Amino acid sequence: MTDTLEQLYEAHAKKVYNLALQYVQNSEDAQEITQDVFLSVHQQLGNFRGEANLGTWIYRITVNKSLDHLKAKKRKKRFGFFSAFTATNEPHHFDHPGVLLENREETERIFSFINELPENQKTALILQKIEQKSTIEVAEIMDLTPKAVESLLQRARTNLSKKIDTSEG
Amino acid sequence: MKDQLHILEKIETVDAPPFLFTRIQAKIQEQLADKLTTKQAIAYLAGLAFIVVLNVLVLKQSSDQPTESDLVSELNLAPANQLYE
Repeated sequence: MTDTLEQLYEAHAKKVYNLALQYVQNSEDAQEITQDVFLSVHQQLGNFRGEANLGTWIYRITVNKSLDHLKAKKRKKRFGFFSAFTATNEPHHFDHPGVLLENREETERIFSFINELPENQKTALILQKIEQKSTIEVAEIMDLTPKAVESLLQRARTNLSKKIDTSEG
Repeated sequence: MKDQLHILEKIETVDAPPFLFTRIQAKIQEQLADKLTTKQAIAYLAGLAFIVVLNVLVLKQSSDQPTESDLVSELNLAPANQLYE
């Protein structure tokens, strides 16, 4: 079982880590998500029925784990009054290792708007715009129809455009 | 807006840190250890329940046995030790 996991890790760790990075934009959190994803893969491998492609299945787990991680962080922040004394509730910091130094400021600004989008719009945008997936691939990962993905992307672009316009005054 | 989103396409793919799989393996071992202790706890509880049930059965059986006075009356024995009444 560990050998299988190692093979899966070798084949998919890079994709998982990079996708997680697009959600959290810092290496520390992306590493945590990657660990959770492969623990989940290890636990659920016996239940994998092969209805979806293995890569698509792992992508799906990564999307869910990333969203769960963000929700847990938000919850921590909301009830952060008590943890404020322990200094564990640090503010979100942008430390994306895939962003070149000269693009850092602009990319951070765009991500700050993307982070405000609803979960499914954010996922569709990340998968298509950053991970360079086709609409059909995004639809498979999100378990939606290609039409629904197109609609999500359209709404994401409209929302982003509004946010950018507002910020630029 | 399209131009601004174009910057997202410049994000490069990076390698996952090399030590990550070792950490995952350690976490799996931790989970296995936790599972073993759960199994041990279940075994202890089952043993305890067996002893309690055994005790109850023995107590019940001993309460069903005839007492000394039952034997005396059944065998028509004199209830007292006096020979001359």
